[in-house]
This record gives sequence, C-alpha cells and structure tokens, in this order.
Amino acid sequence: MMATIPATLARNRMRKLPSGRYAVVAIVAILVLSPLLLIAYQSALNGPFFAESSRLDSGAWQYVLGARQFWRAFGTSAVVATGMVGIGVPFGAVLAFIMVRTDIPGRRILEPAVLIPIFLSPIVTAFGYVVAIGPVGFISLWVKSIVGSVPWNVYGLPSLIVIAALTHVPHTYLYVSTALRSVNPELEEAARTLGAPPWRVALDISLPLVRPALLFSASLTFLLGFELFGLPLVLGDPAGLLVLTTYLFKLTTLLGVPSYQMMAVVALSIVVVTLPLVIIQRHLLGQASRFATIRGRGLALRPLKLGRWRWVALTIVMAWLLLTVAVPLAGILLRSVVKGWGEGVSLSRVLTLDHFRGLADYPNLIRGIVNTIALGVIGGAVSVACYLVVGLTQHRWASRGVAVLDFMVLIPRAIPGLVGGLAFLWLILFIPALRPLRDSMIAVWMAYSTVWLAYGLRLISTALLQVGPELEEAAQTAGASPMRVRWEITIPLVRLGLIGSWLLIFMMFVREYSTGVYLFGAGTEVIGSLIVSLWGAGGLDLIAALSVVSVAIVSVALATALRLGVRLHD
Amino acid sequence: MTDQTPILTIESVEKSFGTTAVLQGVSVTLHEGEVVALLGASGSGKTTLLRVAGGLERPDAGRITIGSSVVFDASSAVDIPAEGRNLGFVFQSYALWPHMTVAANVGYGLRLRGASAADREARVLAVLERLGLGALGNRYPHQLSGGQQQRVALARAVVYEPPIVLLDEPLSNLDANLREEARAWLRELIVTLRLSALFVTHDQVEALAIADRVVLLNRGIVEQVGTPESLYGDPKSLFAATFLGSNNVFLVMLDPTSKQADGTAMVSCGPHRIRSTLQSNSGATPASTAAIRVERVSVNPDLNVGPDWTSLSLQLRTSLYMGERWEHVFDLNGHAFRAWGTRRLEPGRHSVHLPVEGVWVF
Ligand SMILES: Nc1ncnc2c1ncn2[C@@H]1O[C@H](COP(=O)(O)OP(=O)(O)O)[C@@H](O)[C@H]1O
Ligand SMILES: [Mg+2]
Repeated sequence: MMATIPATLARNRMRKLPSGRYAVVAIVAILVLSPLLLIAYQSALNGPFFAESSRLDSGAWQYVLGARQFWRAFGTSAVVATGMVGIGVPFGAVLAFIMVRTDIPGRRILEPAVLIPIFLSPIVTAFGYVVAIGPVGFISLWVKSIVGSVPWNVYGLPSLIVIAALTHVPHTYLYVSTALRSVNPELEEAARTLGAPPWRVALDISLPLVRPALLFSASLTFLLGFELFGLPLVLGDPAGLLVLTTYLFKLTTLLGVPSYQMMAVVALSIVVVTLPLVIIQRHLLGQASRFATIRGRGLALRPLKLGRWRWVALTIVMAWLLLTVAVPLAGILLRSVVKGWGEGVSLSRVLTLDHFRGLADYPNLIRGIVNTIALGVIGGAVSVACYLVVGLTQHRWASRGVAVLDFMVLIPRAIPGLVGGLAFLWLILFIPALRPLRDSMIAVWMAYSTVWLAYGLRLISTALLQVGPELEEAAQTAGASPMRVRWEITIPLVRLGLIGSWLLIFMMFVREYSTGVYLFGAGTEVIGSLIVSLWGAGGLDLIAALSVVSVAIVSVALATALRLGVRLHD
Repeated sequence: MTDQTPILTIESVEKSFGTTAVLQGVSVTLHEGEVVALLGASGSGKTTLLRVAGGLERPDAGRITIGSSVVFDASSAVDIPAEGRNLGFVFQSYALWPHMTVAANVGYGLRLRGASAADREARVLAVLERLGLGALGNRYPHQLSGGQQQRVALARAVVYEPPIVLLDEPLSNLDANLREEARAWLRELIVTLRLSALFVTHDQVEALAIADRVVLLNRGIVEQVGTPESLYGDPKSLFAATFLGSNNVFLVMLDPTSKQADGTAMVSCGPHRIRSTLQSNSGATPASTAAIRVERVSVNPDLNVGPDWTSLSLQLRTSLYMGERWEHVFDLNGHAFRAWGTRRLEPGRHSVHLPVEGVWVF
C-alpha cells in the first residue's frame, strides 16, 4: 500500500520556513546596518542630515582628524585599553586557574561572587569609588586620619586604568575558565607524574592550552576599553582626561554648538577600531575549539591540591573582590544614608534616610526607577522573544543566511552603547514614520535590544544547542511542520534557558546607561541616564540613593538567578 | 631474571568514591625488573589502583612504599604528591600535550629535572630512536598515528629513567592487528630497558603474554596473584577460572566420601560420574560448580585414556567450523558442553574424555 504525504505537510516543510527565515535575516540586517550607515552618511555631510542645505563634504573629517584634542582622547583610550589588557588579562587568567583547577576553600561561594562586577553598572561603580576613595571619600579620610595624607588620587589616568582593569577581570575569567574546564585533566596529571609542581602545571600546560581563550579575552578587554564611558566620565573628566567616548559626549559643549557631522566622525572613528577587533574575536573563537580536548569519560574534575598555598590563593581572590566589589558598594551604601561627610564628622550625627525620601520629591526620578524596571521586565521579555525568533532562524539551518546573520550580529558588538543610542536617535529623526517614537520608551528599548543583540543571541543559542536533534526529528517524522516542531518541541524544551536569558537580559538592561544617554528625554529617563545627568549637576545625595536602588534591583535579579540555578555564563 | 627486591609495595589500599567502594583492601608488590599486569573486567578498579600508586588519587586507607621510602601512609598522614614520586605514568588516552612537539613532550620530564638543553636533546633523540620515532621529534601529536602516539607517551614516561613505570591499558587504543605486534614489542622493550612495570589491562591474552606475574582484580579485591601459567593452569576460584580462557561450567553434586588424599574426588552431573580435582573446595558442601577449559576436553577416539581420565558418552547437538578447528557442542545433562577437535563428527553419541586434573571443582 502506498502512503501519500498530505500536500499541506509537504508544502510546509519545503517552503514556509525558509521565506520566514530570510525575512528575519533582512529585518536584523536593517536594524543593525541602518544606524551605522546613517552615521557614516552624516559624517560625510557639512550639516545635519535632516537639513535641506546639507551637502556632501569632507570638512568634518578634516576638522576632527586635525584636532589635537581628538588625538589626545584617542591616545588616552588606547593607553587605557592597553593597560586594562596588561593588568586584567593576566589576573583574570590566574583567577580562572585558581577557581577552576585548584582546591581553593569556599569555591561554591566565590564562583558566583567573582562575576558580580559584570552585573554592576559602571557608572554606579565609578561613583562608589569616588565616595569611598575620592579626595573626601570614607576610606580616604580614614586613611588620612592615620597616616596624615591620602596616598592616592582616584581621578586621573593611573587610577582609571587600574579600576577599569580590575572591574573587567571577570570577562577574562569567564572565557578562560570555560576553556580550562574543557581541558582534559589527564594532560595536567601527566605533567604532575613527570614531576611538575602546581604552578608549573599552570604555566607549562594549562594556560598554553587555553591560549586562544587568552587571546580572545585580551581582544575583548581591549574592545571594552575603547567602549568605556561611565568610568572615564566620572574618574577622568574631573582631571581633564577625555577618552573617545567622553570626547564624543562632550563634543557639543566643547564646540559650543551641536555638530552632527563631527559627532558622526568621532563615533565612526571608534567603530573603525572596534569592528576589526570584533572580527578578530570571531576568528579566535573558532580557533578556541581546536585545543579543546574531550574530558576523561565524564570523570569529575580533580582539582590540584595547593596545600598551604590555598590560603594564599584565597587571599588573592578576596583582595580583588574587596577592591572591586566591596569598596565601591560600601561607598555608595554609606553615602546614601549620610547627610554629608568630612573630616571629624561622626557617623551617628549625620545618619539619615532623607535621600531616599528625596527621590519621591522628583517625579522624574521615580519615573526613572519605574522605567528602568519596566524596561528590564517587559522590554527584557520582548527582547528575549525577539532573540528567540532570531535564534530559531539560525537553529539547524544549513544556509548562507546563517553566515550573513552571524556577521550582522557581530556589528552591534562593535558599537559602544553611547554611539548606538545616538544612532537610534538620529534614525528616529530621519525616518518620518518613526518620529512618534521620539520620547517614548519604545525607542530606548529598540536601542537596548540592538546593542545587546549579540549577548542575548548567545544565551539563546546556548540553550537551543542543548536540544538533541533527534527530539525534533522525531516530531518531524511524525508529521509536524517545522513551525509546530519549534512551537511544541523546541521552545518548551528550552523554557528554563529562556527564563534564565530573561533574568540576565533584565540585569543588563538595568545596568545599561550609556545607550540611554541620548535617548533620554522627559518621560523616558532611566536610572543610569539620570545618574549621568545628576553627575553633571553635582547631585551626590540623589545619585547615592539612585545607585543603591539600582544595585538593589540587580541584586534581587541575581539572587533569583542563582536560586533558579541559572548559569551566569556559558 | 628478576631479583626479589620489592620496588613498589601497595598494602591494603582502600578507596571509595562517595558510597561506592572501588578498592577494598588491595595489596600488590612489584619487584625490581619485574613486569606485573593488573587484570580485571572494566570497572574493577584497575585504573583507580594505578592512579593511587601514582599519587593522582588519595586512598582512604593503606600504605604505599616506593623503593625504601613510604610515599603514602594513611595512619601517619604521609602523602607525597604525584610530582614527588618520580614514576613514569602512561595514560590510557596518552595525554600528549597538543601544544608541544613530540620532542618537547618527551623532554618535559628532563626539563623539570634541570637537564641542560644539549643533554636533553641527546637523551630525547636516543629514546625516540629506540622507540622507532627518530624522525618525528618536530611533529605535533595530532600529526601522528595512534601507534606512534602510544610510543611517544611511553618515551615521555621513561626518558628520565624512573625506577617504575605505570601503564594504563597501553595497547587498548591500537587496532587489533597492531596490538598483537605491540605485545611482543612492549614486552621486549620493558625487558631491555630493565624497567619495573605495573600495567593495567582488561585483555587476558595481553596480561598473560607480557607479564611475569598477573594480579587478577575482581571488584576492588585481589582474586589471585601468580605467574601467567599458574593463573591459567591452577585457578583458585571459580571467578579466576572462568575469567581466563574458554570454559565449560556446570553444576555438580560432590560425593564427600570419595575425597582422596591427592585432592581428587568424584562428582556427579545427572547420570554422569566424573573424576575431578578439588580447587578451593573443602568438600564439605555437596552442591558445587565444576569448570573445565574447552581445550582440555578431548573427542579423539584414538586417545589412550588412562585411569586419570573420565570418559562420557554424550549426544552431539551441533558442530561449528571455526577455521583452524571444529567446535562440537554436546549435551551434558541438558546443558551445552563444548569441545574442540580437528575433524567433523557424525551426528549421534560420542565418547568425550576429561582429564582429572582438568576438571576443577569450586
Ligand atoms: N573520580 C571518580 N569518581 C567517581 N567514581 C569513580 C571515579 N573514578 C572511578 N570511579 C568508579 O570506580 C570504578 C572503577 O573505575 P576504574 O578504576 O576506572 O576501573 P577500570 O579501570 O578497572 O575499568 C568504576 O565504577 C568507576 O565508575
Ligand atoms: Mg581503566
């Protein structure tokens, strides 16, 4: 007996999905490319892109490339990025080795703790450093009361480099620790049986084996160094130190008039540095799998015994956590509950909750908090849904479309949030149909979603990769259309991964600030952008209270994520 | 050939992973210049024992001595780490470092021992040549065949002349035909390099062929220790008997009164009465198990059967042609009973002869 395939089934399988997939690729391409192209176009004009009188002109390029201040900012960015690589990558590698490969005490608690800096808003961290170790910070004054002077200066290049390096250690840690976990422990044991002590095992075997991950971390840290905004705004600006992003941010003030074409040139000059880095990283990521050797038949990892050195290792990790997490957090927490601070002030006299009450006096601050949470919860959920659609488009699709999509997703990674936000603002001004979105949270959400596209998509595809192909094929052979397979098999199977992605995206959206700087208007403020504008106006009391609120929101999300067993990294 | 100085002594070692006891009081001695095989089924704890000896796994109890120094003693908290034991260890996966050349892999142990670059180069070259890898020093491990990788792993473990080499299933990753060659090669190499070697295998032929002595491990307990001949020819337990070779195993009733001073006794299997040798059986319990190696069963009608033989008349069920021999399957009291012969047999009943020293009762 011959069975006939129902015509609808056959058609579904053959046609419907690919055309939908190409539509997704096209939408992503438009979303990703149009801001970049608009900036490029604007940089080649002699006036605002929306002005009738604007003509093609290379004047802006000539002006910016001839400006000494631009080159000084460029040089500072390069020095900061290089310093971050020089300090942060070796430290991150050592941290990863200690955490993954040794019997350091308290690893269960330390493992999530070392990731905390990733979830803290840099603007909040920077502010925390100012109130803790700034000229009149709590710790500074305490040290001064003992030794007579403050032996450091939180403003300026050296402290900017050190703080940026320390707060970016988790990025190296993440990639190196993942790579170390995939190294066959027998490769290390072989060295030990030949007589190598633990530190030789690390230097001769483990770290060389994860060299691609180290190179990747170095290029990522360098990239993040160029995109740095909050830290240099708070720690560099008062010392007259500008990096490329703060130079861009200050350009209007510096020039006295808003100059679209100059901003476009500066924005593009950042992307010129970051885009090649992102492409290099993609190449390195491909290499990283070369050395990854299969772990010995599912045996548990056998940590290296450090003996007496475990306490040294613990001290190193704790000192870093103290400096990178405890100091700034303690700073803002304390600052948020005191009226003022100075030499000889006793804590009990100045304790107050007024700053938190003060938040209520400013409708825009309350709105900012509400907007931040809504953006994280609702916007985050919608973003995850969008990332899921893109992820499913790539999922088990053997087509050139995947390569195109892969490349498209890279581009936002090369665009600093500040530039991304600016580009979206311009896009809204440029396209009449989008104008109603101006001063709406939708515009902010679109910018956030695009800037975090690569991150979100990696979360989604990690989850999708866990689904065994035979589970989907079983449904397909039973006659389910590709759409139904996705809806009834794939998505339910990655449910937990989606919830985890939502939580992580929520935290990223709460932490994000630079993307919102230009999109921020009456009614669309978020905590991060409020802090940036308050910083300009010197509202320390309110900044402290807002920072605590922001940290509290992220803490709740982080605690929930840990409770649910969400993997904080892949 | 081997003198009797112990160079590695493992005493009553115990090791559990969580609630599973993997080693339950294992004792093994390796003498200078001796090759000892640890033989056991998969999961019997062989690798764990080797790792314990190498310092890669910490036992829960017991004592380990290398040469004259105690490297582990649970009672006095001595625990020399792996890097302090000066052993050679060959991993089952070879564990060659992919980021180093063959020469760098092999020379690493010398580098750790502070050998000069020239000395190192010469010794690496010498050992590579000895193992037939002379020209491959500049290659990377992934550019080598499985057999070559295995020899590099061996070279890396012996280049600094450790007193003891521990090998975990050294031949198991080789193709079947390569493995047969490698047996002779490995045995010859260990002997000419005058190594003392403890090697793990689940392959009985490998253990019998390469080792001077075999330690049979059964679920974390040493079942029997002895020369390959004694283990094969005089197993002390049913497990040892059936782990090696091809066997006929059948249930018998022992006649306690028939027990002789030379350790022989009569057993019955259905209507058949068979003269047999008591192995680990005191003769007290009548219900017992008997085993005989298939190659000791004779179907040769011209055999000159003496008083030490039992002849049974059994029905032939079927015959299988195996190439170099025939396998005949008879019916012994309702169970299959195998014998090997050189000729095809006609259907019907045949005389099957069993030597008394070949029928073991446990
Ligand atoms: N690190 C470990 N953790 C938990 N169980 C283990 C570990 N190593 C070995 N085992 C268990 O111990 C038993 C013996 O393992 P192993 O020594 O590798 O046996 P063999 O080498 O004889 O095959 C197995 O059941 C294995 O699952
Ligand atoms: Mg094993």
